Amino acid sequence: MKWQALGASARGTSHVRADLPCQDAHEVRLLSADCLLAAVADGLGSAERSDEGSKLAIQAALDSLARSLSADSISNSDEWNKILTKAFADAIQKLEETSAETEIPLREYGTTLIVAVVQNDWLAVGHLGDGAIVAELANGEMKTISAPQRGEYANEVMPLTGQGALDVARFTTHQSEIEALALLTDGLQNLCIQNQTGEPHPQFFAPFFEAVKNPLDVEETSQKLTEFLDSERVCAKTDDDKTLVIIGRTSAPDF
Amino acid sequence: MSIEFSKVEFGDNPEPRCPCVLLLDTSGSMAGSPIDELNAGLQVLSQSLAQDELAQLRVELAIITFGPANLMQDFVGAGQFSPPHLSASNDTPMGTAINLALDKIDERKQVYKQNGVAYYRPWIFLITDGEPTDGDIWKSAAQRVRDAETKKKVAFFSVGVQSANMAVLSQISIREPLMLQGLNFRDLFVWLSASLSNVSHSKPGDEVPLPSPTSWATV
Repeated sequence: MKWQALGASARGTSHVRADLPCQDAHEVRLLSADCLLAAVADGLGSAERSDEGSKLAIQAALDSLARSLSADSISNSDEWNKILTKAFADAIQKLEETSAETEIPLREYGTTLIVAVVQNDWLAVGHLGDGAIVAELANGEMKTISAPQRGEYANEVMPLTGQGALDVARFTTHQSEIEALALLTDGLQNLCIQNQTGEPHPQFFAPFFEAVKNPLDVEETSQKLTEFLDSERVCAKTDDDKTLVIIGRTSAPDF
Repeated sequence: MSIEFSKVEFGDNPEPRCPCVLLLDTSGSMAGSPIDELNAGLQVLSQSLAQDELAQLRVELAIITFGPANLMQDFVGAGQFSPPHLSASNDTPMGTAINLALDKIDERKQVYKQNGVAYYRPWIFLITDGEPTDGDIWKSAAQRVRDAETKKKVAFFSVGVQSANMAVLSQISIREPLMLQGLNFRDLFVWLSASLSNVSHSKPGDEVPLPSPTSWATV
């Protein structure tokens, strides 16, 4: 058994028109054969440095988790919550330090952040802002593990740089065997999550989950994933930046 | 094996909605060119919104006229909006009309929530050439408006025409009331259309810049 991960972020057509960079970011780290970290972040459109903010937040959060996990073995939800909270606090601190160094206001680094840790049969999630995590469980059930976090209005979101962000961030742990996992940003939300129920649109995820459970050329497939996110079909449905990370448990023998 | 992208199907979620109530004074003093220009302005609003595909899908308009306070047009998508023809008569029950607008917005939000439809902060856009004639009702309505604005439940804009009582308007609306230049309703509604377009295009975390109203309002 081993984990396999694909990921891509693509610039939205509204960002192309407005000459804005892709403000989404993602990263996956395999810490050991049975421990994987993944994160996606969506830099705020109205924040000038949010393309950097999303990357910095992800790096700082994953660095923090890697440190915590090498120091301690985690055995219950409280401990998971503690190290996830620490990871988000470290991400906020990184943005604050960067803002102080560059003398650019903190809010210009505003970004959402979603982090997932898969270790043995634990799935631990930290989530601030919109975007979502969808999983396929060992029994074949597909479900939303972490739903978009929204304010009352469609254009409201609490960024990492917001007052009280750490109190608003949601930390959850799930103890069930995961076959496959998807992390996504807001740009894809309307295509794959049902607004009314918050549950996934299974026909969106099924082809990804099916493929990722078999050995793939990760680099080539991630490139194709980028092309898919850039395709006319997708851009007809969303003009925002979009990110998709797909993780699967492969049945292939360990190398 | 690779991903079969052609098999990836998309869910179909409703567009987020951007509701706006036009609260229009149709009292007797509006008779003649004011009401004619207001009617022409509504046509301009409908035509301007038609230029923006996304706004057509997302902006929803309702019209409440006074007096008497009357829901002339319930919420309808901008794409289906056909401006009613307004005529002027009667007095100015502004307070009752404001209460009706706030109630309609609460109702609309419930409908959105029940149907899993995302929405933007609703707008109320009041245009009057006079002052309230329904006793003290406007005072409690004004308190409701200020509370709703402070809690970000609604964005309330007010515009005075000709002899409008601007002192009363400034007690109702936290946002500074604007005075229409003459009867330039057309540019006002061009501005309203552009502003609602901006809101309807905005994404989570966006601050929505509104165009400057200098083409139609006096400072």
